[in-house]
Amino acid sequence: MRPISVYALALFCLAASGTVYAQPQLYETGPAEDASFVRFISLLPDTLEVTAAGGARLTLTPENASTTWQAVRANTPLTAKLHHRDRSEDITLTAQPGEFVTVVALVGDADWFVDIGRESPDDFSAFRVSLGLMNLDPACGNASLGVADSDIEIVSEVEHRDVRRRQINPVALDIRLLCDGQPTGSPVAMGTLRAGDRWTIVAHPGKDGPGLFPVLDRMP
Amino acid sequence: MSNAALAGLVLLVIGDSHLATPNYLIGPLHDQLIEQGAEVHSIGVCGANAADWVTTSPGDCGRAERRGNEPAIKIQDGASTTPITELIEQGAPDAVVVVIGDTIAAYNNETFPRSWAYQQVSTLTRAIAETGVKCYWVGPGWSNNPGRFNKTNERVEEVSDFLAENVAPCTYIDSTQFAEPGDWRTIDGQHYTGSGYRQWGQAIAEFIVENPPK
Repeated sequence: MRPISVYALALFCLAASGTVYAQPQLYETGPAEDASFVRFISLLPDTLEVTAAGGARLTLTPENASTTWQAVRANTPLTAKLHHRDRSEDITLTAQPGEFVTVVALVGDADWFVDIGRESPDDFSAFRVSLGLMNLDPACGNASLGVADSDIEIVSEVEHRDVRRRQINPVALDIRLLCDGQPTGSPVAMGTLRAGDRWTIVAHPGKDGPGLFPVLDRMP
Repeated sequence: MSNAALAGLVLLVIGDSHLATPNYLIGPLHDQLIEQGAEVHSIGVCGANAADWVTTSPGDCGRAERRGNEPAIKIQDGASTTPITELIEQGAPDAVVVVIGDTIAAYNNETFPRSWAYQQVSTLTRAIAETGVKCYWVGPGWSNNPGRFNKTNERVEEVSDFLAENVAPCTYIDSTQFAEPGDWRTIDGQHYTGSGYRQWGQAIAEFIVENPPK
């Protein structure tokens, strides 16, 4: 789950211009529009290669399963090819200003597949912890993230491809997934959370049913 | 206010255009920190955003630098930031004072770009935190009219609230608490007159005296 460096990630080229993160700026007063960010996550059992239109490439493995966020130009189509074993998937996406887009390679019933989660958060805080549930399992209806061994729900009613977040205090925490109100899969120990950290908990399909995969959100 | 309360401390002050002209904040703030006994190194790069200070980034409109009692040296062409880790390694400061608010406020944007601001702020605070050096972050002061930068006090409030929530582990210095809106007059809606900079500088120095880094 260790993030890939910014250099490895500087590959997600803009299909239109071939330029990475050409941030529109106004003199002295910040950008003309909010920044957008993209990252990749692989939940596959071995290597996933991600190749941008310009040819730059990175590799995700179970030990290095997520990239950091990379700032990209909003409202511009972005393309990449994801290759795992003997098959490739081409993706194209467009991020809106202020949007954080996560591209995830997932294990399916017959073969791996790609899904995309999106959010436009505004809960930035250096004092609290942001926990977000990203539901990428269509079989998990009304997904909820709860505190293990309790009835406490952190976020609830998360639809497929949606993300919901909540700020919590920096405490030790075990979490669990609920689908349609029923606890599903094994609890996940998050350890002692650190103030300022942002986590995205990916709910994903698995051969034994839906599971959780925590990812620490990291800026480059 | 001179009581040598900061004697023995080395302070590094970095920031945007408010520090990039000799008679702006790099004058009175620097002076007042020295009066309190601190050894001070100040650098301002006009137009610099927060994350610009983790690398060498060009500034569009000049740089001023001042060490101790020497006068500020202004560079108009070829100005750039110096990476914060390099400055900390060279100067071994006890604390860094960051003066950045207006450059991340996006006054000409209808909405405050929070995601971009989060990236900017967290990039710099993380870089400073990794050095173990304490830090202060000075937020924007009020405007007396939107002026050519379109600096509205509603946006100042929004940016100040954002910074207060996001600059930790730096200690936030809320400049909006130092005056009422319009008290400090500006020449362009954003940059203060000499009187405004003197009052702002004194208020920042007093805050640091009352909340010393150690």
